[in-house]
Amino acid sequence: MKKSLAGHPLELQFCNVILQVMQSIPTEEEPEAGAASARNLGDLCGYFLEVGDFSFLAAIHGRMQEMKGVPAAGDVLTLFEGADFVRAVIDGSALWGKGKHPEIRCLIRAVGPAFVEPLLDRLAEEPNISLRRFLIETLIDLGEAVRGPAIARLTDERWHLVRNLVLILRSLGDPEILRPLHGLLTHPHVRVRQELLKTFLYFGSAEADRLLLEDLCQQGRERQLMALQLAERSRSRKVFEKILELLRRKGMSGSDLEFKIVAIRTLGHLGNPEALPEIEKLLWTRNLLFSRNCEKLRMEAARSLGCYPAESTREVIRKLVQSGQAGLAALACRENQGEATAL
Amino acid sequence: MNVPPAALPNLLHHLATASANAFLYAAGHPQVARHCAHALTEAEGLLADREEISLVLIGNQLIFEGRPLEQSPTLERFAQGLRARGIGHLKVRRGVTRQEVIGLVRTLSRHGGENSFSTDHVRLGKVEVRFSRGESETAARREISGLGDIHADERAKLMEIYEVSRRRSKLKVVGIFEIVSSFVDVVREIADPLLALGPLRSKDDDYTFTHSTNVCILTVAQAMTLGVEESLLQDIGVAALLHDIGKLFIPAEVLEKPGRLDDAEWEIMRRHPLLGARYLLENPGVPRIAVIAAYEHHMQFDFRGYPSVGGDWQQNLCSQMTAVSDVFDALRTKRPYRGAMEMGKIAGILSEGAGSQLNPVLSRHFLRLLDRLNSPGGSAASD
Repeated sequence: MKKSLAGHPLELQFCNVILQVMQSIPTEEEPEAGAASARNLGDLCGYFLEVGDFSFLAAIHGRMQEMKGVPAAGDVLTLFEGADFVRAVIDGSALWGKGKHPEIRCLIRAVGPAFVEPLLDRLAEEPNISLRRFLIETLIDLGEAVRGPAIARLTDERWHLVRNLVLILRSLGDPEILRPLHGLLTHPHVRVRQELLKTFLYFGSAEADRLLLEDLCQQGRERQLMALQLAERSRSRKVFEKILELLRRKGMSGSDLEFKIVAIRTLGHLGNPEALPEIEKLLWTRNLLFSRNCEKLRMEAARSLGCYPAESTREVIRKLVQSGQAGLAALACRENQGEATAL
Repeated sequence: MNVPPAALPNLLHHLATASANAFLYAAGHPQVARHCAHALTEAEGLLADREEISLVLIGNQLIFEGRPLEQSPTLERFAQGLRARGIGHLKVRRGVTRQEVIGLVRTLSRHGGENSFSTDHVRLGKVEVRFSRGESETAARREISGLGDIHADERAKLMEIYEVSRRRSKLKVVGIFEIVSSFVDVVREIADPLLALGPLRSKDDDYTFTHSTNVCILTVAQAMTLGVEESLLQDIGVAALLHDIGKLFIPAEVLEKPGRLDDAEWEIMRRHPLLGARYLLENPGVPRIAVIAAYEHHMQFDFRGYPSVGGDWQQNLCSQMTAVSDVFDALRTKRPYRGAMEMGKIAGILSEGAGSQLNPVLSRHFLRLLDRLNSPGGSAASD
């Protein structure tokens, strides 16, 4: 208990007393008392900011919200929304490291809209990926307050900012945001287009299938691979057929293998039994030159059988067992427990 | 008048913040390093046109180049930090290095232990400031056989402070520190805190004055015997002295009513902790612990007192010591509505209140002091 006599514990108690005083005395009738409380509280907020006690700051903010009618509380709330305070809190995310991020996010969520523009400014310039992630998550936390400012910045020249804005806007969960995003469909940067594709797919927009097909038909490998991964959310017949077409492509080199494995997984996610004849073909594939790659592909194909309706794969698995492909059959059975019992 | 350079508050702010962070986290924390670097920059700026920065702490007042600095919450925190570590003087000389600033911050962040720090360019020290009571002071003090003989100067100063408060004017905080400092010295010099249990002789003064002085002395004595650091005794003394300051804002007809208070009057009376804390908040330089004790001293250990607070409230040790002294002194003093109680009866009440009204550890400690006082070899001061 001796610790309560000095240092940080004393500051916390002092602050609690000020909050009680502010709450208990109608300061509109006694402005001097209110001003003194607000002055002391303002200083304490600076102190808590400097020592990284963001959770106590959030608690103070909460108390001020509760007594919003009290003029002195209004003064303190203004301080929380002031440029210096906001900047110091955002700086704190880099200064104090990950350990304090949950507290900082909680404080920012409590204060709200005043943080949106400064957070977006910082997001545009932050070189550290983990801090960018923190900034994005914090902006997402702020919800609707982000919509207008984020849309206003979609014309920014920095592709990385635009991509992150698309991600943030998607998190609002409102298909209405597709309207301002349409203008970006011709964005020169592939990463922005990919994020747009994800967003259009997320909201089940027909525009997404057109974009997917466009990307699946591209020669650029990275873009095609990304489109192949994203296609798992598509319900388009054309997209499905395009994936089968890509799977049928010849080649078994390392890059071909990676590509085909992604295609098998995407088809598995789609779970359409019409893909099974192509998958079955892969199970019987042989390639003397790339025998190890071929084996990996067959294993992936066997594993993917578990993603399809059980009755549609029963015959394929039976054939595997009968032909003595015990390893592949076991793999397929492991992925499809029901069928294992049936066989 | 020389205006202190703007860089000075910045320097003190960075030193205070660096030491707070060093205390809370570690001296190697990046935030400590950042504030140390800023402090060094500010110090170098100040030292560009002077050989040294010299600060003296008197009471709660920081003096720079012979002039008191304008008080602000940040400077108060810095001053409080110095006082809590028994530091009265800080000197930073031209040529100060980053390592020396870090060393200074480490020292300022330490609670207890050795607080002397001396390098080529940084000096910390204690300053013994005697509050001008003449050469005969020491001799006069030696003659004090108990605390019945509080100096007339203190009595007059204290009465003046109460008058100032009653008018809701600004408190002279340095004056309060002077008074408390002399009380602390007296309790320390009589070498037996038991003597503090003898009450201040009540003349025709009003009860609030006499009671506050008694509570101050009793609380300082408790803190001393509990092993609280010497450097904190002044703040504790100020807190105890001012604990009832809110009563000055209670109408006399309620405060001095000879009979029992009715519900409405009682409601008014119950506001004095709040009014006291609020008044102290309006006065820069008052130690934070005094605001807390003024607010909490009637809260009770089990929170059944007033004002009522949330379930997660943590009471301050100083408030709880003040509460013990407060109850003890109130019971032993003759009041308009009852006579003074016998020591045995007071001990019974304190014992009964331990764990409910009062902190049980502090109550038991106080009761042990009372036992010693009443034992054959005890050194009680006569009432």
